[in-house]
Amino acid sequence: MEQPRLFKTEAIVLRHRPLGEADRLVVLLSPTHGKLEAKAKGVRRAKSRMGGHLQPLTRIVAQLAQGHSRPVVAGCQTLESFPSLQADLDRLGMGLYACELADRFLPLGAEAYPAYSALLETLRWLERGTTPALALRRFEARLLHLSGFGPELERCLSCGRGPLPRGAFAPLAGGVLCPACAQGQAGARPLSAGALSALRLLQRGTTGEVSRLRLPPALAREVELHLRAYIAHLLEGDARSAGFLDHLQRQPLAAGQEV
Amino acid sequence: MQESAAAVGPVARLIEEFHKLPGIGPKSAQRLAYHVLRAPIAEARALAEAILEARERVTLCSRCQHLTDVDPCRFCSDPQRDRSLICVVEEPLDVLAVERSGRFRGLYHVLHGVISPMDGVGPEDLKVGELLDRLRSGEVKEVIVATNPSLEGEATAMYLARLLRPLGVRVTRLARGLPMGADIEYADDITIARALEGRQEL
Repeated sequence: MEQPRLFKTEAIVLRHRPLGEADRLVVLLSPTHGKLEAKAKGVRRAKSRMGGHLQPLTRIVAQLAQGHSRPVVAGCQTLESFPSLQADLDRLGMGLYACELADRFLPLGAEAYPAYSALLETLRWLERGTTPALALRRFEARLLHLSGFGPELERCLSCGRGPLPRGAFAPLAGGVLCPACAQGQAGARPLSAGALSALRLLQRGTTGEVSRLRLPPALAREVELHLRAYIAHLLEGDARSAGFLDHLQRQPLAAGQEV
Repeated sequence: MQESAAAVGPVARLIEEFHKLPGIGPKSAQRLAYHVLRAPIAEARALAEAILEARERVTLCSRCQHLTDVDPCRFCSDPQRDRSLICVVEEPLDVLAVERSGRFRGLYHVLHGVISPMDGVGPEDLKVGELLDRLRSGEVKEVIVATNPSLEGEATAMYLARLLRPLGVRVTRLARGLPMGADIEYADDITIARALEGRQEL
């Protein structure tokens, strides 16, 4: 599709990095234009009119102009800035983790309505602050499903038997295996009945259903480990921001404090 | 590099070396290289020697981690400066910026970066351990966190606050709000909210 020279879109800022003297490259997720990389000129200067609007974890409306190699941000305005999320280190880390996953799983330039609303829903959930870990699990499962990487959770990937009540989760195979087929499968870990139904709900359930889910700590941990192993397999390594979340968990200190 | 195809040997190498510098594009690299070639040999030698000398003699101060040619650096060894106050900054250039204001008489601590989870930069990649070591003496009463008012700067500030508060040190953050000469009309929500929070009696 031929893009007009100037176009306007709503977007969530996923990440940014310095470019040249005072510019930044910002990675945006737009429902209509998908993931796009745009150049924001002069935003590292203190008096920039746009700098504050283009921080990661901000929902903006942006006016973009086609440039030579990539679009240039001509103007932007904040729609939602998630202040409570941004003032809490743990939830901030989680928000960045969600943005990193979106950045790494979504291709450039393909329409992304469902992924956009999944991310927005996650950020609003984190902003409210209730069950933040569940919000992340939901986002992981939804994003994998929407980007075509969703794990098979019904039938055994080897013998086709199913739907399985429990079994093993094998990241390399791409989903669940029945106990018999899991024998000798590299990286397969036992998957309890509770974790399997939680994973199914996270992937396919409505937001309302998922938000009512209350997982006991051991089960929540099991679900987290399975999803994380699967994501690490797809990304060929852990998500970078997952390391920071681990660091915060190891060092809870006086949690919830801000400067 | 295409542009240097016309230049060969040492000239091409010089252009390429300039091109590696931050903010220097292929055209600027060519201009700089030809400037050096046209300049008197003494000037070129002075430039080369200045680069080598700086690179060989400048190290990190063992206390504040700022760039220095004497250890401890001039800030850390200045008896006039207030030792109960440490201003934590991201980069050595930020020390110069704070110093330019002429209002700060304490010591500095340079982190050499900022927590950026998405780039895989965590607290262990910064000079945080060195900062903790400095606080153990009990001489420091206040740590002013002067990281940039960006998402990463805020994350670093919150992390430091969590880490340092239990040590009984006062942790403060530079005020955030509107810069001189700015337009309120164009300011983002967070900046205006913080400017309101930090308002002062006239």
